[in-house]
Amino acid sequence: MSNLGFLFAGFTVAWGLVFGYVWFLARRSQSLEARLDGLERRQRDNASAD
Amino acid sequence: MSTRPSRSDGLGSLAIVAFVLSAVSLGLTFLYAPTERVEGDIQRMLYLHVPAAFTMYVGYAVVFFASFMYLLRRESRWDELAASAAEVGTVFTSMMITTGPIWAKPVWGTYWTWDARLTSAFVLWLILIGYLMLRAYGGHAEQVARYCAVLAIIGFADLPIIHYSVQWWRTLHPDAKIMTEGSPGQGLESSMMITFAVAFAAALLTFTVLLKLRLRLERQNRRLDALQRELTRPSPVVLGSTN
Amino acid sequence: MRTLRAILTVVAKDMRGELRTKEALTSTVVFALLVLLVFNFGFEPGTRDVRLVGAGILWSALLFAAVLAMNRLLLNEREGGGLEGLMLTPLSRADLYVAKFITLLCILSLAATVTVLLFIVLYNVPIGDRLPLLATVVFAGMIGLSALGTTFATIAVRTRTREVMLPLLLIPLSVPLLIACVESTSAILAARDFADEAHWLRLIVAFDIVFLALGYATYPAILEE
Repeated sequence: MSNLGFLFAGFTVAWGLVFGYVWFLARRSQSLEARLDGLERRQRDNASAD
Repeated sequence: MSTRPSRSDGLGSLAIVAFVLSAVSLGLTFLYAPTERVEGDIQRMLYLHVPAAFTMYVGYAVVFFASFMYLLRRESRWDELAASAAEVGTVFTSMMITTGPIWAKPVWGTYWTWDARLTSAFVLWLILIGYLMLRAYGGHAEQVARYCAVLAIIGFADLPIIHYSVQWWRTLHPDAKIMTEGSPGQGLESSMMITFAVAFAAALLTFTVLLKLRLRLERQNRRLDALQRELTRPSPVVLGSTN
Repeated sequence: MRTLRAILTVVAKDMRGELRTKEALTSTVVFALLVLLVFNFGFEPGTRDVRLVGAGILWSALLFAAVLAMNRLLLNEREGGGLEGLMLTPLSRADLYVAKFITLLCILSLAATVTVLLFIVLYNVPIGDRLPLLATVVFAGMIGLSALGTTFATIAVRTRTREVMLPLLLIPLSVPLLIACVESTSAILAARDFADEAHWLRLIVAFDIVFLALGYATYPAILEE
């Protein structure tokens, strides 16, 4: 197959973009989850303290 | 008790279908589609490049529609959709802009060329970047939502104008290179058409999955903001306790 | 029409303020002059044929100067609280857009006139009897830039990265206008038959109309608070 290098590079870049984005979203989601957990705990504590 | 949205909204199965379809598309691209006569195997790149371009425009349309609905209804869910679609749209625009030069180098001998399609994509990419920057630095949430909606609507109206002006400009200053790929209207072989069709479907499905993922993140974000606001608000008990 | 008179009153007030300080005007013209200077060194004197590259040089100067002018005008406004005060008047938000647009257009037209004249002098442009045509193209381009500029300067000045936000938003959207203006100007400078290139001018006019209308329609959404 001619130009295999370019083909390989192109498809790697494309799939890399998609999976990279998914990973990026997953990481942000994780940190948001952690912060949400903390805040919800505070909310529960406030509610039970009233 | 957590009041977060349920996880079982079918996203997992959709993602699996998208992945399988993409794998099938990859297989068809390399094993089923014929080798193009003029360009050779590098033409197979277009089974990636053209669907990415098409999905980019779909993403743009979603941003526009969501922005329009937001200005009309002022419901948060439309703004969430606009923000998410813009980000995912940028991913596909980047895909188009990167696969273009990778295709162009072996075919035309140069990485970048200001041909009509790539130039338009580049301008669109800049508009999306501007949108994302406005999202990030535009001020408080409600203002950002409005400003971004205005930008999206004006940007969408500009799309056809950009497309035509760039095309006219290109015909005025033609490059020696013309995009000859097997685009519709040039007598595609049926095997090419099938491969393109599957590639389009895979791209659109991947877009949908990414969009839903991003939407979920956006909702988490909003919930976080709402919680933060609630927790930093002075409690009514404190205010009323001085009697 | 009372609305028209109200709009023109606002314009007159803004213009008077501007012409008194001459801040936006002078900084814009000086900046355009600097751009013309820089481009002069960008091309080797022998190889530079003004008929080939002149259009690009002129419109680069006009565009960057326009962005500067918009930033200055809206920034002054924001710091003076002018726009907030105007929102209390019976003028609708959309009418405010018209007023701001007209003010910006006047400033830009003045600056553009000086810039074009400087360009003709500094680059020895054999403009001859085509000056009115060039003036028309430049004015039509300024209309488009003012239409978009009013919208996005108002937005940008309320964000955290205002200096960079305005060109970032404005320039990509203005690409069709720029292409059309440069091509028209190029045809004029090279003394080509303008009838062949009239579609560019039509594009400029269409652009102006579309984005004036959109700017008018969306301004209320921008000024909501």
